[in-house]
Amino acid sequence: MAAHDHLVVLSPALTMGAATLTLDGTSATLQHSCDLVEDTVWGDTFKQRLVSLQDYQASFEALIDYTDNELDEDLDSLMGTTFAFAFRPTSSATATTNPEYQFTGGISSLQKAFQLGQIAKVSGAVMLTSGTLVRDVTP
Amino acid sequence: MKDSIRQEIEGKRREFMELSRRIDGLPIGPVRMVLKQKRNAITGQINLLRQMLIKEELKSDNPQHVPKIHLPTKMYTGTLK
Repeated sequence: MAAHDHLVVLSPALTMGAATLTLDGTSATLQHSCDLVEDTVWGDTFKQRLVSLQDYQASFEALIDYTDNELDEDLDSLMGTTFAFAFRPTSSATATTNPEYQFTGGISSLQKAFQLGQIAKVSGAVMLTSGTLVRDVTP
Repeated sequence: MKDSIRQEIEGKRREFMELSRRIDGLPIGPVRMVLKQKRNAITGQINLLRQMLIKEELKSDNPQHVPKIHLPTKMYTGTLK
């Protein structure tokens, strides 16, 4: 039986354009979806569906870093552009056991939360804008 | 076809490095922000060109690995961030 390769999330690598969240990030969610359009007709006993368009989006959360040329400024400069998104589960080199998910996308929302007595956080969502998702396993 | 995509990627990569060099020397402000936006957009364009190259390689008889394009932003430290 093959060995299982499960993962505790400790040090993923996430870059968006020239911005890196690797040292400030706390959470990331990648969502790959596919429309299934119904084509059920008279005579069917089960609902029938056709595979249609796929979509890819990602969301992230990080602690704000206001250092010059760091996260906050880098994220602000992503707004209004399409850029390269890349995420891999650990920051070690890309491999079959550590695939990198890459796509070209844009930020659809960016929220910054400042709550009294709490650490300042930034979160946002990125959607694929052109091309496809690449699941890269080559170093 | 493959060669022209490779050339285009190399051109974009040079443009990215040139922008990084300019950004490094600029004070905080709107000019630097615009250049950063331009630089971010180049990463997206390179991503798409690489996807095109991968597709072209897959079509050929002997597909070659398409290496990742490294785009360092912190030139002065010499480390990739």
